[in-house]
Amino acid sequence: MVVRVQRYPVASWPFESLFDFERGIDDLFGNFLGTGLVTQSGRDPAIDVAEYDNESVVVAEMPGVRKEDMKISVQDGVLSITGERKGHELPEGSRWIRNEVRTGQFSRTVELPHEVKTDAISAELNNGVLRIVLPKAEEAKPREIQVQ
Amino acid sequence: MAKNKEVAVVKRNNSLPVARPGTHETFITPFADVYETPEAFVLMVDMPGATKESINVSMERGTLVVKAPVEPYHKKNAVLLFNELRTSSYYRVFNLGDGVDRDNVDAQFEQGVLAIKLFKSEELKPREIHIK
Repeated sequence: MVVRVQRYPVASWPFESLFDFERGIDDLFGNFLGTGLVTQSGRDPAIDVAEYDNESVVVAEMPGVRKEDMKISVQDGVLSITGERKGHELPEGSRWIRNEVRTGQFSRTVELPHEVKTDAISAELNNGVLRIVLPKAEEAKPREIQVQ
Repeated sequence: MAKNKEVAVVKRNNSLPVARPGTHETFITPFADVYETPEAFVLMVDMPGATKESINVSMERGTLVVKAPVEPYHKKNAVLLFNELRTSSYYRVFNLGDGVDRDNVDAQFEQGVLAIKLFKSEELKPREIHIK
């Protein structure tokens, strides 16, 4: 396999790809307005919501976020995940060569897809992936009706 | 101190899976932070969902290659109500300068972040010259 290597950056265009361009636009306008206009604001974690028969699972990618630095709460049918990704403290005499990772406060809210047993919600953080299991309340579970 | 070109980054980050040149395999280019300390270059690569066992770091011909497959986040019978995440393999190539001591590399994976410490070779380390 040949990997083409560009050793010295030559581009004068500040954005090397369309994705970067979108991030740049978000930096200019999105964060100013509070939310990403073009893409999800880089700092807020991307999420998935998956539904199963007896529960729903919210999955969020949050690398580099410590358990102590995040807060998960459920209120009025809305799940919210807030927290902060702390940046690295550079040791003395060091300098950045490249800094792509966004740090700082983040927040995501998800409207619960069904009635949830709030006292049975569980969450775990593993390898930078947060999984929140929302068990369905009895009335939200699928039910078979016997024909008499 | 070494010039900026000592560790130049090849691939641009992109959260969408991209086809690897010459293959049909798609991959995600993970975000990375790179900094230089007086004795080493440190790469911090965001790889949520990878595991210590699944990550493969290799050095070949002046490059450092980081790759890891990611297991799907959901079971087969899941109904996705909302979907922003992509699961694919992570793959990124970092171009290394001559100043890296290839026998002295340290890697750690914690909270979804892979930290690779590439120690500088002796001739690149800052050194004080005593005036006689």
